[in-house]
Amino acid sequence: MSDKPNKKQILLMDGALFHLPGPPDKEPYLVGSKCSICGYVAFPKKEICPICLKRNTMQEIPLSRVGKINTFAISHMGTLHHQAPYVQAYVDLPEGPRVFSMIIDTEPTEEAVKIGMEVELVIDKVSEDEEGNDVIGYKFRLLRNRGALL
Amino acid sequence: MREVAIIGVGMTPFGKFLNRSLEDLSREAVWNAIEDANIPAKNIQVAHVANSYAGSIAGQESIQGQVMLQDCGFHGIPIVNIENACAGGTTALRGIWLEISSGLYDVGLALGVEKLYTPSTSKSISILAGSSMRLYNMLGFQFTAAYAFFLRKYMGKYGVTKEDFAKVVVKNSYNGSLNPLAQHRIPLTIDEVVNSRMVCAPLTLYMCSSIADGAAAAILCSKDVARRYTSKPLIEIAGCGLKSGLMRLPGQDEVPFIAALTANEAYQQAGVGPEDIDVAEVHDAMAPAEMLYYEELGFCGEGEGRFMLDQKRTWITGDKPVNPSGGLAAKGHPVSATGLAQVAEIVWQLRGEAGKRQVTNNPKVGLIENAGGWLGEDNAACSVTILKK
Repeated sequence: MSDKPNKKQILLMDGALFHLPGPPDKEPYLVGSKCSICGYVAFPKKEICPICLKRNTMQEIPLSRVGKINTFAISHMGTLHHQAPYVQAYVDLPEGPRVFSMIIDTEPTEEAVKIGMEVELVIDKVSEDEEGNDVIGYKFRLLRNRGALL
Repeated sequence: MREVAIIGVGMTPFGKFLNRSLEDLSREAVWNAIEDANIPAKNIQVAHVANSYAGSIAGQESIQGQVMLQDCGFHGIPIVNIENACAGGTTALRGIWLEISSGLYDVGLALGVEKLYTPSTSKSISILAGSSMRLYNMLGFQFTAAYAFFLRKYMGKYGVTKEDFAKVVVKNSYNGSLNPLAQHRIPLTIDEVVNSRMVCAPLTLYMCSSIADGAAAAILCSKDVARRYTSKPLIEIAGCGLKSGLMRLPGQDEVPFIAALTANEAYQQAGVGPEDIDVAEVHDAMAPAEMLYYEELGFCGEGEGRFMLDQKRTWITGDKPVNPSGGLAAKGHPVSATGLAQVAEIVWQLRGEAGKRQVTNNPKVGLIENAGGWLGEDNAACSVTILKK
């Protein structure tokens, strides 16, 4: 974490990945796209359906805020911007996409995290850019911890 | 298409060489291959050079191949720069195979070279994570996790334990102890593997390949002129499949992994099946993945990978030896050099030149599976090469 004064908040991929909490939807959600021919749902949203391979068939849709952990890993080695230990996972959303994300608000242990657990979307700082600004992206948190946090 | 043979291979030791340059490593591998092929260097007509990180780590962009090969003495010949993550080495091999089989040239060189060590290991790890989608990199992705994701599901599905995973490392660390070119040459026990430092649960330190510096090269030649140069057994390229992700779109659990799809392509090209493979080198960047590759390459049925180890069938004394070189975890993994080092090992095994780690089943057909990068839920690039004596 840098202590740079006046650091800005930069939206990951220019904000194309998610809707920030605020009108008309108070809650955040991830933005996907759905093929009008085959029904395939992509996240991040795609312009071209990889199944139909046709133009102009994908339409933006909001994705559910709650999903289930498909699988996970617990990193005990950090990167330049991610301090270990932390949980990385694939989260299955009801519309179909399998989303890569960090899992927060949990002990980073195999006792605390299990395949199949329900998780909820949060918008949060995920990294820093080269100038030391905060990069805002998405994470998921264990749903059973929600009551304790609110 | 003309038949193409590998007539020379060469590599450097793999390891941490902070004082050796990319050029220095390239020169050793290339000239080892030239001497192995017994060919005048001036007869080499074309080269494909694989490298992925010289730009990020050493500031050498775009013309890595020209810069490396100029230092080896080459100028003027066509040089193609290949960047295809951990599959770069065999992608270069495939390129030269096509250059020669098409009839355009008679003799060509494939080189893979990489330097990954920097004074800061976390910088190297962060640069490597860039070989997934850059979105994943920003979200905290690491390559160990990519393997941990599917290995955790595999454990749950078939009741496979961390001790089962450790058996791959026990075998490969033993093989590595017999390989003078390997980065790690100490045989490990199940207890040592399971109790080593946790890197990315469920993967412990000794289950993971390390970053490394190194180079590997191969000289390819049209089979009809190969006897002008070498009296060694000719090792023919019988097939070389190459595929990219996403063959398996996110969430499509019923679709086979890219390794199985690529192997099928190579088997068809070569006119052989998994039962014909006598020796294999597979891309065990995290060693337990080797167990899954037995299944994806068709060496055994689904969920049966661990029995191949329990029965020691994949040891060098077995009927289906896999990773006699020690694999990536013992030998080290200098990304773009790895695939051509796998090729070198299979060539040595087929010729009977592998010394103490020579497999004992008199191999005639060998397979190399080389995959890398991460896209969606699978490798971004995968190649499977089949060599015949």
